[in-house]
Amino acid sequence: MKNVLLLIGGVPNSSAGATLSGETSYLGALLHDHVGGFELSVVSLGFARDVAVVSRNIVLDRSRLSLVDRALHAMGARALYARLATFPLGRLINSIGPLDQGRVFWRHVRRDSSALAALKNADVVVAADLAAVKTAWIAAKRGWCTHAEYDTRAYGLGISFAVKDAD
Amino acid sequence: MVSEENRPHLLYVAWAFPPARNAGMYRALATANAFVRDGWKVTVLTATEDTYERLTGSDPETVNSIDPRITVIRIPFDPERGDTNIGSWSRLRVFSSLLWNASRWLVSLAQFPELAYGSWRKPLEDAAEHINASSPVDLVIGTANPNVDFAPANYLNRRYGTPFVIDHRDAWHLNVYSGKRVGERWHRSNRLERSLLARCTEAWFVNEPIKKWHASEYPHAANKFHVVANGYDTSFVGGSNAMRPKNSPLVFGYLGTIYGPIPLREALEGWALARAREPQLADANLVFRGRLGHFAEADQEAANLLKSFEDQNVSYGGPVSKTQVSNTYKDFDALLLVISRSKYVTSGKVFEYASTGLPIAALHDPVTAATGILEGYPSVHPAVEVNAEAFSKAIESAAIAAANSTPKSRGDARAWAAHLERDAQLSPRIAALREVIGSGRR
Repeated sequence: MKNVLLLIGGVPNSSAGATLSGETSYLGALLHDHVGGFELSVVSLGFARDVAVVSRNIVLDRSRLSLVDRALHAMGARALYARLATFPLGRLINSIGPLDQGRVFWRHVRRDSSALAALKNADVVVAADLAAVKTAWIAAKRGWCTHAEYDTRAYGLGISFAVKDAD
Repeated sequence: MVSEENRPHLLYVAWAFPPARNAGMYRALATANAFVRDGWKVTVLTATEDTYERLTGSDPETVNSIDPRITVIRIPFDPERGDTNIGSWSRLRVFSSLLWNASRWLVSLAQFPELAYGSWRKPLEDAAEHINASSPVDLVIGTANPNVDFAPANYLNRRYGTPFVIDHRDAWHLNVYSGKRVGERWHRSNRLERSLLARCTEAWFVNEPIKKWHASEYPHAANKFHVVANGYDTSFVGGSNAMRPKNSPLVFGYLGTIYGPIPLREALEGWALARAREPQLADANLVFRGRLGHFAEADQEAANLLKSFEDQNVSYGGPVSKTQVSNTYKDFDALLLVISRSKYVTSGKVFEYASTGLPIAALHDPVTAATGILEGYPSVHPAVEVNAEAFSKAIESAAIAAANSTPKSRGDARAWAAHLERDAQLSPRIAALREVIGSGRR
């Protein structure tokens, strides 16, 4: 039995990263090809859907902030982040700063023992958005998982909208 | 009869070629096939098949429509982009994907003045050099966008004086939706386009308004400009529809990409209004087929909007392979032509729609270039403006026409549309180019 962990680092948005996604979903193919052959867990900041295939749904507590996050909030960094997010160069600056969604998500995962344990026990980690990539990449580089995949189509888990095949 | 050795050699450059599923792919496929049917030796230079799977989605069955006499040379396009194995991503890419993208775009721009595609210029030129060395090229056609498809033509023309054709499906420096110029005239990409237009043998545009815009911007080259409209492909559409039994519910259809700029909400509200008013539509169904958005990931906003009209007998039947288009039209009694407002946008589906002979409710701003294409079509029912009320009237009118249509009325409409067939657009240009190449060779 394989452990597959789906990471959702931001707010689900079907258009985000759509140009990078392939015709088929990696997770969708896993679901289709290995029915009952693995356990699927989800770590997110709030994955509201109740999906039958998900055996464990770990929702990270947004209010449990790390020391870094508390300091950043106290300094008003969030307001600056929101301001910078309104123009392209600002978004570029945001992406290399401490409030980048990927870094924030990793800090949340690190502080949640069950999420961290799920990450360390996963055989395959699937990042459903860019915000989840850093965490998946760390898992791959540290040898916690055998494979880490970027799969924006994993958001839907094949249930969001039934698209029939051409034939 | 032209011998194998004497056949003129066309190098056709198209980023989107089967199995790509982009709308522009069909023009590329039809053009390459038309040249080979005319007796040319055709080499197509395009991207590897995985490119489309990674970036835009693919339609694998369309590969079967490539004429087997065509030599297809595929070169990788930006393999890093779209690599989904996170373990192989660089530290910089993980540190900031925006910074990573920006750095790659700068490198790409240094090579060719087009974001995201510039890095393909060198591989294209190397491939063109190789192809020309193995079998000298008599003519290059580049079809854009992406505009980097013009790079081999530019290269072979500068180096060997090879004649070339610029084929614009949209435009490089005209935003076809807003009608505004893109970029400054002194900009590098604009200077390159001016130079290409000055040196090309012909430049093709998909409709008269786009051609006119270019003629006013580049008057020095205007005598080489031609309209090669998209047309419909008889290999994919053109069969006649069986008549539905009397008194059975009508089925209205939409076939095409379903995306942001089209007035989808107005069309759906117009449908609901029309159903409430017109008895012919009481039990009628409206079926949407096609991709939700331009990318591999479905556009959830459009999906949700369609879903919210389910109680109005609206359904979404998913995307359709190009090879199944003809069969799909056979399920419909009338069509909704829902397209965005632009005097420069014709859309590809208007030609396909006309080929069916079915009543068409034209749900778009009258200023849209498609209006001219359907002028004279026997069963077009245009909306006078973009709102639910006007759309409703057009749909009601199309419903009455659909209920009263006969095999003869559909046949007459199909006969009218024969001039919109793609080969009818391409043939005069192929003949002219054969003449130019022939005189050069002599």
